[in-house]
Amino acid sequence: MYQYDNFDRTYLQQRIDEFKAQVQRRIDGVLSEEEFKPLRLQNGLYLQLHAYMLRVAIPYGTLNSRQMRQLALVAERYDRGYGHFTTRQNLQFNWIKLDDVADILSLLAEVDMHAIQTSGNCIRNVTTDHFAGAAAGEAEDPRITAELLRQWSTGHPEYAFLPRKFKIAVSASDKDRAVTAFHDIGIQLMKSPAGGIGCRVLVGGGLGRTPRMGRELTSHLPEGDLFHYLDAVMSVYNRLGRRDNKYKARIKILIDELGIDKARELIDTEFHLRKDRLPGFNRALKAKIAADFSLPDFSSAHPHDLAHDMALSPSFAAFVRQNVCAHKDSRHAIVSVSLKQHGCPPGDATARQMRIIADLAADYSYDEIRISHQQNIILPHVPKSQLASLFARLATAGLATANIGLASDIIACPGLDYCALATARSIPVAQQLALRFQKRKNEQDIGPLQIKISGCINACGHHHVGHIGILGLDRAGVENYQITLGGDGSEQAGLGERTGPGFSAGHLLAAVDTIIDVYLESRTGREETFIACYRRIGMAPFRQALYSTPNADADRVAAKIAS
Amino acid sequence: MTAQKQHRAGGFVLTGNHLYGGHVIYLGRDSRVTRSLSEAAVFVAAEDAEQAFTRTRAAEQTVGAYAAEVTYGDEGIIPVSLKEQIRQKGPSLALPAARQRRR
Repeated sequence: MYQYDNFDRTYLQQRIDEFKAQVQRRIDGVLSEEEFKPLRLQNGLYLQLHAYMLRVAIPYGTLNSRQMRQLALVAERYDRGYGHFTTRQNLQFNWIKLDDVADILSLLAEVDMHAIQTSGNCIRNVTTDHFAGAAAGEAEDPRITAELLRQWSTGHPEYAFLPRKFKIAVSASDKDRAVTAFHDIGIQLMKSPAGGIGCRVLVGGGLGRTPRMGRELTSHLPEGDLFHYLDAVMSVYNRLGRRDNKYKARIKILIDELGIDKARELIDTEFHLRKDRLPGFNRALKAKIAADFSLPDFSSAHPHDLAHDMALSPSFAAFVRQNVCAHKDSRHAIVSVSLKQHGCPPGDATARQMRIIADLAADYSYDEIRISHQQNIILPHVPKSQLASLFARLATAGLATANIGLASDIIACPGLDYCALATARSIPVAQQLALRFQKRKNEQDIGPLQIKISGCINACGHHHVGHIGILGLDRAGVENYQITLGGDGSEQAGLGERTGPGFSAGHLLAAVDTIIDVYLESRTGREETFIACYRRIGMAPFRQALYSTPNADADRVAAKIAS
Repeated sequence: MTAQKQHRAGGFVLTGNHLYGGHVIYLGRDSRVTRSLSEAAVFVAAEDAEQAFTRTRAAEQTVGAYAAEVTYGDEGIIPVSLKEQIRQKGPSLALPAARQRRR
C-alpha cells in the first residue's frame, strides 16, 4: 500500500496542529460555532444527535493491521468500544468529545491516518473497487489512480470551497464494484488498444434527493490527459455550479441545466488551455506509487484444491461458496468477512472485532485489509491452503457469517438513531429484516439480493441502487418507508422505481415478504436472480401484490400525503 | 416564566448539544444547562424558550440550540417527536456493550 514520506507526515502534523488551535479557540470562545463549523467539518467532525461524530478517512478502503489496531484503540479509549464502517469506505466514531479530538487525530497520525476532507464542500475521500489489485481482469490497480487523485485533491486551494461536496470513484474492471455511475465523477480505467491506460469519464451521477446516473463525458481519454481533464471539469463546476441553493448545488444539477454536450464543450475548452500551458502527466510519480501497490511476494504459496476441505465441513463449504471469490493468482482467494451478523447493526465493528481482523490480516492476508462500500471487510490475498484455518478462527470469533450478497447483507446508513439529518430509523429495520430472513431460512433459496436502506432522502444507504431499496421518511410525525425496486449500482446500473405509497414500520417487513414471495413464484428457476426476474416481469406483479389487499396503513398515509 | 403549572398539556423546552462533550442538554429551570429532561424548563411558546435561553450563560456551553415540543405523561416531561425521544434516551438499538452482556 501507499507509503507516507516525510512530506506527507509533515503536512498531516501541520494540519493537526492547525485544527488543535482551532478547537482551542472554539473552547475559549474566540470562535463562534458559525465560524468553527466549516473548520471542524473539513476535519471530519460532525455534531450528531448524541455527540460529536468523527469520520476517519480510509483512502480507497485500504488498511493494514497496525492501522486497524489503532482504530480499535480509538474506539476503546475515546468512543464506546465500536465504530461504524460507512458506505464510502470510511469509519465513523459516534461518541466523541470535542476536547478529545486533537488526541485522537494524533493517534491516527501515528499510523498515517486522518479525517481531512471527509466532510465539507471539497473533494471527498476517493473510493474504489474493494477487490482492487486482487481481482482478475483489471486494466491495472485502480488504487494507483485513486492515490494520485488523493494527492491532487487534498488541500487543493481551488477546491476548498466548491459549491457542494464532490465524490469521485475509480474502477479498473469490467465488474463495477465501486458504483462509479453514481458519483460526481466516475472513472473507469481500461487498457488502450494502442497500449497504456485509457479512461472513460462519467460526470453528474449521484443519489440523494435528485438521483442521476453519470453521463459520459469521454469514452476514452488517454491516461496522460486525465488530471488536466479533471481539473477542467472542476474548474467549470467551481465557476458555474449553483451556490444560491444547496439542493441544486451538486454537479449533477449543473449537467442537467447545461446538457451534457454543452458541458463537454466547456470542459474541452478548459482542458485544452491546461494541456497547452501546464506540465504533462508525471509518469515518474505514477511509477513510484504503482510500486507501493505491487502485489505481495506470493512465492511461498502453492496450489491447493479446496474440494477436499469443503467435503469435510459443510459450514466451511457454505462459507467458501458465499464469502470467497476468485483471486487473480490461482493459489489465493479473496475473502469477505461479513459485518452483517443477523440482528447486528450493518457495518458496526467492536474494538475486539477490529483487533481480530488485524490479527487475521497479519496471519493470512499479507497484512492487507479492505473496507467495502457494502460495509464489509475484505482480506484480499488469502492462500487457499490456509482458508480452512482462517475460517475456523473467524467462526470462533463469530465473524464467519456466510451471507455476502444475500438478502441479509444489507446496507444501512446510521439513520435516526444517530444522524441529525435523518427522518427515520434504518439500522433497526435492517436488523429486523435480517432476523426475519434467518427465521424463515430462505436466504439461500432467494439467492443474490441487495437490500439498501436510507434513513432520509440524502441516500447514504444507497437505496436508489438497491434491488430492493427502502427510504425512511417522516410523515406527520410517523416513520414511513417507501420501497423502490430494480435499482442496481453495478456495471448494469439503474435507478430503482417506487412501488407506490409507503409503509409504516409495522407493515414494512410484511411488504418485503410480499416482494420476495412474488419473486419466488415468478422466477423461471433458481438461476434467475431477483434483479433478472424484476427486469423480465417489471413492476406490475409486485405492485399488484403489495397494494391489492387492503392496507389501511398505506391508504392512510397516502391520504395524508395527498391532503 | 415556566409553564408547567398553567399548561399541563405541554409546551417547549430549549435543547442543544454541549460544546465540549457533544451530549444532549436542556435549559434547566434554574437557568443552567442540565442533561435531564425532567429538570428542564418548559415554556408556553418556542419563542419564549429561545428568548429565555439568550438571557442565560448556558448559551456559551450550548451548540445548535432550538426549541423542542414536549408534553406530559406518567414519566413527566416527554418529547413529542421521535427524534427528540431518541435524543433523550439514546439510540433505539442495543449498543455493542449491551449486546455482549445479553449474550
